[in-house]
Amino acid sequence: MAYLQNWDNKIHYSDIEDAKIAADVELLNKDVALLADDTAVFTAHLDADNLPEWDAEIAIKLAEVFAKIDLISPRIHNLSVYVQSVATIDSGNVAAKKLISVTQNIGAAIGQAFAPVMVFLTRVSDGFIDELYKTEFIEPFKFKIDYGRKYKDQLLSVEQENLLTAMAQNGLQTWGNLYNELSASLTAEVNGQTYGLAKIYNMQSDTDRSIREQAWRGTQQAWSGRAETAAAIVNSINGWRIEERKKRSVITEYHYLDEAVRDSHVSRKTLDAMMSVTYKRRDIGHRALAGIQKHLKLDQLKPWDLSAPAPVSKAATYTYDEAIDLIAKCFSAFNPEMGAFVVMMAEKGWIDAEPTDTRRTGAYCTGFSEPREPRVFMTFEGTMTNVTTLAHELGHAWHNWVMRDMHDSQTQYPMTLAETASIFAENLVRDYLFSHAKDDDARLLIGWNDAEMATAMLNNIPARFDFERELVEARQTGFVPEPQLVELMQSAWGKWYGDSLSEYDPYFWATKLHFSISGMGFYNYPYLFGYLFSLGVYQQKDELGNRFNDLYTGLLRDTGSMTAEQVVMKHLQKDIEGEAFWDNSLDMVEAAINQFEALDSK
Amino acid sequence: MAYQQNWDNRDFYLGITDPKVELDIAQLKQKITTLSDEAKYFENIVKAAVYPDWNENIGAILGRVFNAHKMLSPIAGNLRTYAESAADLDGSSAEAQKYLDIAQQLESNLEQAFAPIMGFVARVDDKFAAQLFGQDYCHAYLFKMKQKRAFAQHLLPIAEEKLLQALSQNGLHAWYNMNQGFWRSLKVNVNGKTQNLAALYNMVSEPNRPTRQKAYEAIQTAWQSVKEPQAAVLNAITSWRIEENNRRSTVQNLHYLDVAARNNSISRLTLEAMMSAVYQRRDIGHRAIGAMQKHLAITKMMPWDLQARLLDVDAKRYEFAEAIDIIAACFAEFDPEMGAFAQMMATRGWIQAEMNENSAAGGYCDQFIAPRQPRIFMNYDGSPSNIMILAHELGHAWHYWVMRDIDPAEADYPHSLAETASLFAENLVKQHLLKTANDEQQVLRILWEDALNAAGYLNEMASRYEFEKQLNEQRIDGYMAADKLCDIMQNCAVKWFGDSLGGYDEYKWTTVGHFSIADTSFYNFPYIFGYLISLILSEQARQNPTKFVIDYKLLLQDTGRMSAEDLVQKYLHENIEDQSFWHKALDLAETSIAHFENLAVK
Repeated sequence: MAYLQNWDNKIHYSDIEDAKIAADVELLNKDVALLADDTAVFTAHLDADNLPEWDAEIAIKLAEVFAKIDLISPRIHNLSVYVQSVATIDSGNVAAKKLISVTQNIGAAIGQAFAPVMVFLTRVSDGFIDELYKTEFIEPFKFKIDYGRKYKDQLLSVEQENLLTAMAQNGLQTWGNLYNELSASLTAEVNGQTYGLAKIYNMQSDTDRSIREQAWRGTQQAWSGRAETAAAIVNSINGWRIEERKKRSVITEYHYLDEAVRDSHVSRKTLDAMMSVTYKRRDIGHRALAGIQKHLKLDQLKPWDLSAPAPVSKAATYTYDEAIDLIAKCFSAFNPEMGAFVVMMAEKGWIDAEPTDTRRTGAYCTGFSEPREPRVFMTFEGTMTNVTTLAHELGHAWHNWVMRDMHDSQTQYPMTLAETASIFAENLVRDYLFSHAKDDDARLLIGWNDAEMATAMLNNIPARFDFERELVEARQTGFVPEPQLVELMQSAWGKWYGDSLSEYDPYFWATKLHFSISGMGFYNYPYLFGYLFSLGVYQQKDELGNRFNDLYTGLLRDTGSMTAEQVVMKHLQKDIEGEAFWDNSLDMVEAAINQFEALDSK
Repeated sequence: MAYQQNWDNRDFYLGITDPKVELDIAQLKQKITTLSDEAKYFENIVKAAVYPDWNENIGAILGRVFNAHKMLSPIAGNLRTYAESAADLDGSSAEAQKYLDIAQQLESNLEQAFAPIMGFVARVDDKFAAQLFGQDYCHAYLFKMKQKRAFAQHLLPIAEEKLLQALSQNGLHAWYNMNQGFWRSLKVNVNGKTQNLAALYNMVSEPNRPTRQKAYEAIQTAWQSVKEPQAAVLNAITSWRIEENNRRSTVQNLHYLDVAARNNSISRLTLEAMMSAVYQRRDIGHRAIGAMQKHLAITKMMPWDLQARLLDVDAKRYEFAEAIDIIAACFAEFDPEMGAFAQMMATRGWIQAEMNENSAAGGYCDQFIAPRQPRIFMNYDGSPSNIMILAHELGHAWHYWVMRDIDPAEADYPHSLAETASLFAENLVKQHLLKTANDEQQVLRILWEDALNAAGYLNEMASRYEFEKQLNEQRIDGYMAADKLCDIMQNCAVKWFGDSLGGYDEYKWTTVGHFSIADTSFYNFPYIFGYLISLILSEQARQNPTKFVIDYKLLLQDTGRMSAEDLVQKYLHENIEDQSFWHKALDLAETSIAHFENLAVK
């Protein structure tokens, strides 16, 4: 048994100094310029009055563009995954940092060159599309094209789209950047020492309650001191989006929730069903909080207790090899291929887990395009949480692996569906760990994680969602000043947390980055969706027994080429626009909390 | 005679919660929608680019829309002025801030609705324009329409103009609004006492050097606490303008100085002639600083000395009523009507002179449109230099007042000519006081003001002009963080102040509000323009008082319907595109400084 703990990426480049990198960059730049030449012809055809009908000439031009994209995309993808992997392991590597921005620029140039083609295909007639769909090269892009065409009415003229993009850099995006700059420069004090907010954030999960409280209060203080700026940021970002949607609403109304669900590939009906079931059963989160409170032996639960660690004295530890074997065993019980896959990942050096000084924090899964190979990154120090994190990332890797024969453009799934495989995999391991736990502490660790997850998903995330909705509504009538933002946040927390907390988080609209992300609004409900959706799928495992395995693989394979509704209907014959599906998922959460509460009674 | 020191704005609304506020908002909303619907007719013509010949039908529609605009803009203007005054009186009032935002939005909506009409007028042929220009209803818009037609090549299609305008509310204007919020809310602790910016900016001219140094440092502390958002403001506003100018440059290049010159009704030639004459003679400012240094008996002048008031032998403070009477007497010597006007302003409660805890900093003059009434805002503290500020603002008010019967569309004069009126008023006060001075101390005090002006305009304002040019040049290379902005400011100060100072205010990009103004770029050279022209006008008033009393009023009345070149040609028979004109004005400045240098140091 020889498991590697470090990545082996030599098949791509020997190291960051490899001369092949510079050569590839040069070649890519040349090819991107050629691509831009090819797509320029479509820019001229973007006006509604100027759209051509299908003919042989345009067919050839389109085929050329798509052939070029097929050649270029995997190469830029491989290169950027490689340089990112170097920077991940050696975060101070200057050459890698430089190359990251080089690859980002190439990526942006490809995006810009390709954009007119997608806009063109959104605007052309149905007759044109019928003809286009008879060609073979377009097959992998059909979903993207169809999905884009659904939002045809919201497109502005080419010039207006350009203007919007250009001005957004000095409006929308600069507001978002300002938030990032501030959050990087703000500091707070804990025990008389000054720290940056990122460090402070970690202290909110310290075992010592007074440190948690200081960290929380410090964060509040830092941001409430900048409340005016933070209020200007959220108002301007939302005001901008309101104006933009107004302009896009000429033909059909473009509601803020239409925009919110668009990139998630879910319908508003689905979103409504999920949120209303969650609201009915928000007490599951409250029960989780009550359990946490009892274990922490507190009279009252405060916002700074929401990330408190489990009160265990001695926790079981695992060696890396034990972890791999354990995960492989759990996966195999479900699907032997999936277990063998984990062993292969570890044997081939596709996982980098060894704690080293220069690596970055966090965990993620990525993958090369050619050959299609996943890579997992994390820092394994032997805790049980490390084991579940590793399982989570290996779940993502499995998702990529079952799609390895598919076209790149069909393997890009939205954030809502991205967590399906990872949480599924995590659950396989967590079920095993719980049932095979040697002592109470081990069981508490799992239960604790369930509880914190349940309240985060069923109370915190919906409070964010509701707050943002109220914010958009209020912004439509004028500037929403600091006191009103505080009020809206308090009432959103009141609605979702009720009495389970003795005070709320009034400056959460300022302290939480998610409300100030310029690229995307409602960056909250997809977390809840991913969580409940994967549970809903997981629940079918026992229900469908032997038949499930193939259905599950088929479902994963379709996540990049179908909406969430379609994918579930096709493979599991379930309707996620109805409440029953979500009730099922919440039954699973409730079962976990029951289990947690049972621990409590011991 | 009872002078009021607080605004009486009851002619307009009884308070920010007056139900009339909501009624006016509702009326504006409804009528703007109607105007906007009617304007679609012109938008469609411009879109199709097939322009009709003049006919009665189109004449009637144009009559309707011009009259609608004429009817609505005073309501919107009054509302905005009122909300702004409420916000400046109480920076902590969320209600005032909310209505200010709404009023600004409505003013912008009104202009957006009217834009297609002006866009149409800009593009019709000369024959159509000649017919239109003969109609009564657009008489007041003649100068604006001609200016617009001269700018036609820089116009975007109407849809894009409207989009730009709509987006600017959460881009360009939102940045400015955040900056305005800081002016109202920033506070610093000085010697255990919390001071707002209004008080601190007044303290910078304290005769006591340690006091003004402390105030200067407190101002630095205040602004450095928001340096990230302030840097974002400057970057975003500058870059917004660059992007906008780029889009307007398809036919012919539109330079940032073209825009600034045009906004001031002067030519680029005039601007360049003036700035190069000033650069050649910048030593006049240095000599003023040198002489001030001698009188202050300090070894090297520092930034906190540039507005220093002389230590008054008897530390005389002037009651507000006393100040009004002094100014009225000075004005009356030139024009009795102007003197009576100054007293009327105070009698009717049109001057807000009393400072309160939540007052905004600075001083300004604004007006209500219907009925036409000027308003002055300042934080009056009774010092001799406050008298000059009051005289300055009363000069603006007089300008509004002599134009009160002129249609607002024709009474919209540029900043360059606005400062001419205010500085002329200051000169009247100085001339009168100089003539009636009976000891050398009094003479010194008046010439001290001249010295402050010489350094303030010929070095300080000029260095800000330089900075803003650099801002435009260097923004193209990327985002400029606070440190970079300090560097640029430092270099500009060196260029214009030379070694006349022992140090510079490198944070002037944020301690001075002018760089953050959304509507106007280069809020600096118009002051230099006004300063120099006002010297020429004052000389006229001295040499030819009887004729000039009448000419001055006529000149002011023409400021909204003539270019500065034409105006000066008409009333003074001089060519301001020629450097020699500016040297004449600089000679006058130099004479005064030479006089000041020759005063014995006590």
